This record gives sequence, structure tokens and C-alpha cells, in this order.
Amino acid sequence: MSASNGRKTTEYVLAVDELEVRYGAIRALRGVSFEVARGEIFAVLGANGAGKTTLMRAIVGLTPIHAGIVHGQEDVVLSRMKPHRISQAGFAVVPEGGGTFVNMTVEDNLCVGVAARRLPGTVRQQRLESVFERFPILADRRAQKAGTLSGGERQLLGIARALMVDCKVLLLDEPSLGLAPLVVKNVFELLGQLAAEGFTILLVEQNARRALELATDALVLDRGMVRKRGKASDLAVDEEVTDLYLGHSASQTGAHHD
Amino acid sequence: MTDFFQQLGNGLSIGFSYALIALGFTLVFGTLKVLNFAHASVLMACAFVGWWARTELHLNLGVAFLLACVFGAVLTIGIDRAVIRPVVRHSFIAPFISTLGVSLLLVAVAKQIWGTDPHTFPSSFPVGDAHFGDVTVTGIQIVVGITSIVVMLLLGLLVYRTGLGLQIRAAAQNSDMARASGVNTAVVAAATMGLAGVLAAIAGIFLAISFGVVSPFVGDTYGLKGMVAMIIGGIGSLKGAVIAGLAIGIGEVMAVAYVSSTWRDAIAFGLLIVVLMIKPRGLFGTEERYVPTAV
Repeated sequence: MSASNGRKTTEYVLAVDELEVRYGAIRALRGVSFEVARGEIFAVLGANGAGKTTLMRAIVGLTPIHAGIVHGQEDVVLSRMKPHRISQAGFAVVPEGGGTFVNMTVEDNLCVGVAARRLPGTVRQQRLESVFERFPILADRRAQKAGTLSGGERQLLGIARALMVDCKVLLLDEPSLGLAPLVVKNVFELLGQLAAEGFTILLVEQNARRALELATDALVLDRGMVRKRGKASDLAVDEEVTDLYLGHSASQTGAHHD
Repeated sequence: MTDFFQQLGNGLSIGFSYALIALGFTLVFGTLKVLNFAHASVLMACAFVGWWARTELHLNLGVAFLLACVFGAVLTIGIDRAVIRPVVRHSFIAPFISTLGVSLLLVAVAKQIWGTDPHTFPSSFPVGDAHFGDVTVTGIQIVVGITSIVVMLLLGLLVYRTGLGLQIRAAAQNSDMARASGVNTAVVAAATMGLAGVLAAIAGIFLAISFGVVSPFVGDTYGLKGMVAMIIGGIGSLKGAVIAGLAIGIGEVMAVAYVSSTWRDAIAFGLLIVVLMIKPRGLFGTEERYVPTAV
């Protein structure tokens, strides 16, 4: 697969071009390129240590980039912006575990982004109401410290925080990690719903099967490099991918691949 | 009993200054994870600015007070920009050394300009003494007490009831996540340092008018006591800083009154040892609860 040569005419909201990130002498990401179209769910798969989290941190500006360029909507160059500017440009990240401020109340957690944008109180109230309507459980817990929430509730709070600031692109790191299967199902359903509403989602997952079911496009990272890239439906039946990341049951025939 | 209440008033009066100093330390350490060793020297410099405004410019106390506050904020933000921000990303330890350097520099400059002898702070004070039975509360104590309480309430409101305060608290807990939520941490740092500078200035002026003197060495004793109060209260806890500061102030005055003046300086450190033995994180220190926050 060749490296991308400039953005295509389709409406892309995120374009990563030849991205390289180093930690000292270690190259955590090398020549990573891909594009995410508006309203799609894009899955980033790979084993532990493949560079998935680093990729996400680099896109939102929390990890410095060595080489390459990251574009947002309308060709904004994200890779030259500070994290708070990238956030204000519509990119919201939900890190592993939800990334909540555990010693702050649920309501305060929700309002951090609103405060940073100096939005008026009426807007804050309006958005709080709509978020609470979508997630009644958070309304019940609004005065509780975020640290008292369950793992699933923290994921919801992380996503709700992104909705509070009217984000366009939602980046999620392992939203299924450590959650009960039923809760995982709910979270993935929610992501599908959000995509249908027009949100663009970049989903980093180890749970490859579920992620490929949900996503339109996907890439597989392997030791910092793009191993595979393409339609999620194609990757789901790609022998190499199924062998490496989906385990045996994916090859439904049970046949041996040598 | 009268004597006890008299001592309590005196203890509170000095305790408020300790509390204000501790608040400055704890705000900066809690939010920016930097122990600003120059904090107490800023207090000293602000006391001199107030003294200079009173004696040289013949300004009234209120204006001199405001001038000292502005000076404290600007000086502290300047220290942050000049010697904390540039080094902190390279090493967690570096700001300890660089702010200690600034502290020594400020004291040296003050000695150069004003000499090492204490200067008398003008004693004329607009508020008279009040008498409750046999207990006398001086006008200075009344004003120091009321102003301190008002300042602490305003600080609490700012931190817990405003958008800026929300951003400060978010940055204190998880700087990366705050930035990724849109918080400009440079603004948060400047606001925090500015607030700490104002708190140092207020404490500096209060000590100057309470004791009637300013000297280049005022920061040494009070700075250390303020730092001890921060640790007793629990690093990052505003409530803890106030309670510990007042406790040290009252404890010291009581020790002098009822035991012996040689015990005065043992109070702060004795309290420190006892509290840390029972609660290693201080009275209101939050337990570090590590939830995965890697983005």
C-alpha cells in the first residue's frame, strides 16, 4: 500500500500523513498515513505496544511529532497547534478509562470544556440538559465525584464531555477495556448512534472483531507501522488479520493456515 | 480565662498570615506541581514595596496595600515565566533550585537597597482598638482578621464557583486531560501564580503592620512556617492550609504565654511530625487514586 499523496477531494475531517513519533531513540510510529471521512467510524487495531495510544496522543497534540503532518477539517494543520487549540477545533479525546477528573463532580467534569471556551451560562445549561437527557444515569450522579462511577459510567462521562463542547471528531482509546460484555455492547451501540448523527469517530481497539463490525474503514498498526489498511469489511475477512487479531474462531471453517 | 481569650486573638492574628502564605504555596504546588521557594521572598519584597509606598510616596495604607498586591502578582508571574516554565519540562527538580536562586537574589537585592536593619513600618492606623470585657482586640487585628476572612472566601469562590477556578482544578488533577479539553494551561499557570503573588503580598503587609517592622529576613521564618502549614493541611488543600495556618499561629502564641518562649518555634514542627505520623498526606491531603489517564 503506497503512502498517501495529498488529500483527495472527498470531505476528510482528519488526514494523517507520514507521521513519525519518537521516544528517545525508539521510533514509536513510522510513516503512518490515513484519512478519516466525515461521519465515518475508523478503527485502529493492533496488539499492545503497536503505537495505537501514541497515535491518538499525537493527533490531539499531547505527544510531540517528529515528522509528518496532521490535517483537520478545511486543511487546518493540527500538528502545529497546541492541544487546547486542537480541542477547540472540534477534536475530543476519550482516553482509556474515560479520562475523567476523578476528584471532581460529574457536573464539573462536564463543564471543564465549556469553561475553557468561555461559553455563556445559558449555553452550558442547555448542553447539560441535552447531555443529561441522553445519559440519565449521569443526571442521577451529577453531584457525585467522578471517581465513584463505574467503569461504564466513566466511559459515558468521557463521551458526554465531548458532546458538551460540540465536538466534530471523537477519538476513543479502548472504550471496551475492562467493561462487562453487556456494557461494551451498549457503548458500541452508542458509538454507532453518534456516527449516524454525523460525528466522526476514531476508535482505537484491541477488541478487533467488534471494532471491525462497527467501523467503515480500519487500519492495523504493527510495531509503529501501518500493516494493513482498507475497508473494515475487507479486513474482517483478511486471513492475516483474522489470524493475528481475531483469534481462531474467526476462521469459521476451522481450517489451518500454514 | 480573659488571658486565654486575649492570647487566642493574638494567635488568630498571626495565624491568618501563616494561612495566607500556606494558601499561596498550596495553590501553586497543587496546580502546577512546583514548590516555589521564592514565595516567601516575594512576601518580603511586597512588604518593602508597601513600606516604600507609605514612607517615600506618602500614600495611604489602602493604596500601598493594593500596590504591593499588584507588585506581588507581577513578580510571581515573572518568576514563573523566567525561571520555572523554561526548566520544568526538563526536570521536576529544576524549579526547586531555580526558585531558591531567585529567593536568594531577592534577599540580596533588598539588603543592597535597604540594608540589613529592620525599618519601622508607619504605625498610624485608621481603626481603633475594641474592648470585649477585659479582652482588647487591636484595630490592626480586627482589620487583619476581617480582610483575611474576606480574601479566603473570595479565593474559595474563585476556585470553586467560577469557570477559571474549574479550569485551575482540572489542570491540577490531570494537566493532559485539561489541555485536551480545551484548557489553555499557560493561562491557568499565570492566573495561579498571580493569585499566589497577591496572597504573598497580603501576608507581607499584614506581618509588617502587625509587628511594625520590615526587614530583608522576614521571609525566612514566615516562609518556612507557611510551608509547614501547607504540608500539615495536605498539599493542594485550601481548607487544610487555612486550618493548619491558624493552628500554628494559635499554638505558638499559647506556647509562649503558658509554657516558655523558647517553645515558640517547636510548635510548627512538632505539629508537623505528629500530624504526618497519623496522616502521612496531611489533614486534608487527597489520596492519590490512579485511574488510567494515559490518553
